[in-house]
Amino acid sequence: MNNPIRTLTLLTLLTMFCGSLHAEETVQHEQHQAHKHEDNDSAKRKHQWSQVSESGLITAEVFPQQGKPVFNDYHNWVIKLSDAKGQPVSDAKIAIDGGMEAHGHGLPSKPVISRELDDGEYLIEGMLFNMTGAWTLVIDVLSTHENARFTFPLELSH
Amino acid sequence: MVKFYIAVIAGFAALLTTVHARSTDEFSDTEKAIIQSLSLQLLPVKPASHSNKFANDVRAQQLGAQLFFDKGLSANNEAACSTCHQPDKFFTDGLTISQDSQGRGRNTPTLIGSAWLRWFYWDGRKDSLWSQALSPIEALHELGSNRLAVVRYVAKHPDYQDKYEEIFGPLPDAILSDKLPENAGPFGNQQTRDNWDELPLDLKKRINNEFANIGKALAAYQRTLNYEWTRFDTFASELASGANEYSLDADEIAGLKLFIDDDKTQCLQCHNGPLFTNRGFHNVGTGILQGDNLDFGRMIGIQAVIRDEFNCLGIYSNADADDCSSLRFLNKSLDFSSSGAFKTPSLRSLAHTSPYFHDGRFSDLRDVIAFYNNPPKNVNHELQPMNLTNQEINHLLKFLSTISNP
Ligand SMILES: [Cu+2]
Repeated sequence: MNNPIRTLTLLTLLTMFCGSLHAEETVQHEQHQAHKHEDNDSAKRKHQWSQVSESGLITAEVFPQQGKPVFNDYHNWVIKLSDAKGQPVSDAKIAIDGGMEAHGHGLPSKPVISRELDDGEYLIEGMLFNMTGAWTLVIDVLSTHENARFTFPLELSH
Repeated sequence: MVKFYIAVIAGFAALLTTVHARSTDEFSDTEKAIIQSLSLQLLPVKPASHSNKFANDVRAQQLGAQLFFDKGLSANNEAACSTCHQPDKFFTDGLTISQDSQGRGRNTPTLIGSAWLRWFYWDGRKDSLWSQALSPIEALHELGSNRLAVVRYVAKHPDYQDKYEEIFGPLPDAILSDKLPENAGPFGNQQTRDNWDELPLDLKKRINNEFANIGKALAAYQRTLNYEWTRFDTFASELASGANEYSLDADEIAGLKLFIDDDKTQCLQCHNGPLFTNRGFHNVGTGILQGDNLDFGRMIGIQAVIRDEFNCLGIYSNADADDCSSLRFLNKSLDFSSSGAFKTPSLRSLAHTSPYFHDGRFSDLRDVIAFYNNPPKNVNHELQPMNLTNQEINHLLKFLSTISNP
């Protein structure tokens, strides 16, 4: 037989318990949010890779257009080229390749440079990562300054 | 009053066990995040099918469902799509291999969840569900018919004709004309191919267009086949909401922990996301690169999809070129990445889709795990040995059973 008092007592206790838990979760949630905000700023740095060519004539900087790499879907990246004086390098020809050395395979897609967004800033379309782990992005640049190869190690995690 | 106190004590006792079950160190934050990433709750909305403007048309879905089960589409009236894709077997046929449209023996994949895929067939030689649906119709060992016969069958069928024209517009008289041969198409026997060669180009294109529409109706139906919510998905929700009890037992949870542990297993490398597949192609050393029965997998698929007249960039597609991402960004490298590589299948509903692998080589999941535990030597592949104990293998199997419904 159901005892209404007992049921009510349990319900009350559970409500109290859940209530306190909820409050706790809210605090944690807010802390988490604040933490996330910090993360977002550092994330911008975290998901941005920069490299100077061997001769020092060109610097290449790559980053996902939306700030973070997207897992398992085509998305856009940006590559910024500048010369030793920090001036943009325009009209360069760029090819993108890469893969996962540990697995011996290449990129699951063939990203293309669709246009120069701004001086020295090029849009890469069709980036795709379908595994977590260590990826390599190999970018070949043909420019009036020099022809250079950049190799970016990227670590993707869940 | 005594009863009340007992109830209070019972309540506190319940609370204590509750607290125990909720012990926070059970799952790390990373584990929790990965578990959520696998839940059906996080399944993205069904991707648009840009190349098929009838993909979400309810009338096309209904016509497609009828066609899917209709043996009248086949040359001998004995086969339909549903012959190999049987609903009671989760749209597979339980056979090791079935002859595919190019005479290669491959295992029949499920159609459930195919709306989310980018590539079709084990080698991805099709880039849409509708263009895939056309091949078996003309494949000798499947429906064995040809495009003209099938278009005319639908056009003259008392039940289909009106429905078809309501969706796709009026059929041209030229196709219904009695002057045309009974059979014509680029595949099939010599007579069928000769008849096709003799047709004027504009009529061929018109027939292709109507043939493509039949594929688009079949695809509209197949897009409605969704994965079912499983016990694992319930567990993921429980974990997210901080429930007191879990729907998975200790062994199943141990298996799940192994599954998502990249250091112990590499399952998650390819079988990730709510569909338990990254929808890509991987080399696990199962291709046959020499001798008889050659099967290069993706390497052939790449070359075939580029040439397919029914691909996303072709004239029978409804897509803008910009929307054909899979083809625009297709990696055409014919190297280790594609040679002997096959499409990652979903792990959902595994209990109902035996046998496994592109050639159906294993009928028991235990053998599949054993393969990954100790992958073939002297063959190129992406795998590392897992070195799991028997108990760990049992746990992994138990976890896999939680993403299938009974
Ligand atoms: Cu990999």
